[in-house]
Amino acid sequence: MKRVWVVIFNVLLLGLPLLAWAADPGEKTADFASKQVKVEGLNAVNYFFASTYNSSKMLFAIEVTVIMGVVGGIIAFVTDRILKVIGMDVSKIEHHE
Amino acid sequence: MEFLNVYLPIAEQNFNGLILVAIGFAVGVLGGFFGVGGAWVVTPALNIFGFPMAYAIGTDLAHIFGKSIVATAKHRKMGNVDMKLGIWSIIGSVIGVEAGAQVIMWLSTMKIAGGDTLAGPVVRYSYMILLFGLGIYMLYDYATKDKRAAAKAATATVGMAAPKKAWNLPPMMHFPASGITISFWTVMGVFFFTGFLSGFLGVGGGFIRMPALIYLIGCPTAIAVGTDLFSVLFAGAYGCWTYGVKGVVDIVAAIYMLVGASIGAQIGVTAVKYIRGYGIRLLFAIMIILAGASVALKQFGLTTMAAWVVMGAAMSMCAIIMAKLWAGFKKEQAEKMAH
Repeated sequence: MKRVWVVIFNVLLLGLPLLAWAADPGEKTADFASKQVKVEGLNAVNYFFASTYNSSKMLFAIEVTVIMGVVGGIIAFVTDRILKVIGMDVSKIEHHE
Repeated sequence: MEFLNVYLPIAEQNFNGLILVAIGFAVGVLGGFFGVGGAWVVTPALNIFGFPMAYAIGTDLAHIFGKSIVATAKHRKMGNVDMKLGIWSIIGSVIGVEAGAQVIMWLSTMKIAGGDTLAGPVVRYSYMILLFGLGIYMLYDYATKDKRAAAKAATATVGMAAPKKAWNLPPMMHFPASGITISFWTVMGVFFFTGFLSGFLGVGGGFIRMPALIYLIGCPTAIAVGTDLFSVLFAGAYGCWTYGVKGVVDIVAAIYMLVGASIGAQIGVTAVKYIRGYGIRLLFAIMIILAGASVALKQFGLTTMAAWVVMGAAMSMCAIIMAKLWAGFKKEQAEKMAH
């Protein structure tokens, strides 16, 4: 009997996150998903982001994720180098129990 | 100050670039110094300065992802990650982030009076509960620190170990690297909840995930730190991507904040070496409460005052940390000269 309750409880808990998907994001977020931003008069960088955004949200999402990762990596590398040049080493953080 | 304005192509508004860098800088200093991300300043601040709530959260998550790369590099390649727990953290966090993002997007479709959507007040009230709760807890923690130290010493003398509560609903999972056996539901519950907070509020969730990993799951502290970083990295990447797909990430604003945050984080981490004492935690608690107050002011229409309060509190805290860092550095230099 205990095993049955465990199975039932597990199924119920597994079903919880499905509630989040019960809402159809394609319909309910239509305002944002189909949104177009203006590209006239933008500089090259802004034009690049805005035109990707207008053409494909999926492509825009990949672009955003990759760029943020790359920029984060570059900043980490550059700041580490600068700190080493000025004689400070804060690149390694030690943790103790 | 108009010359400092930058055009944000996705949010389609002009924004003061200095404010963006300052928000990131404040978050970086606080995160670097206190060890928790501090991203809970970003969503309220962006919203107070005119970002619709969904854009504020999406842009905050994008900047969190970039910042987590910097943090991971600082912690040297996540040497202390429990990989098995880390993989489960990705699964739980991603489901949680998506659930939180879906709720935000759903709330963003519901218009209310004044042109705002329901996402605005719901997230602002959630922030008020979170920030006031956290701030009051930290004040309590500060006020009772002597009492707890005495109690801890007494416990150590008697040799009593605190009883560990565990929820043993099967299936049970074993994590050899951490040396723990724990219910699958505890693991998924922790990561789902913190993932949900990330997706819903645009925070990294480390301030809940870290204590949960240590006290609820039972990880050793070093593994908890590494696994938390691992989790933030993937939850941040997923949050950045999913909010990007939903069209509510302003990448230009995120990059400005990331630059500020990275500079600030270096200062914050360096300050840890020079600033000692529990007193700074009192200031941090006050800062959190002021951040909560700024969200309340925004909710009640006092936007200009809210902007001054949130930026004033964050920048004052940074100024105090930097002043103490400078004083500590000068003292160290003087001692070196004396020898």
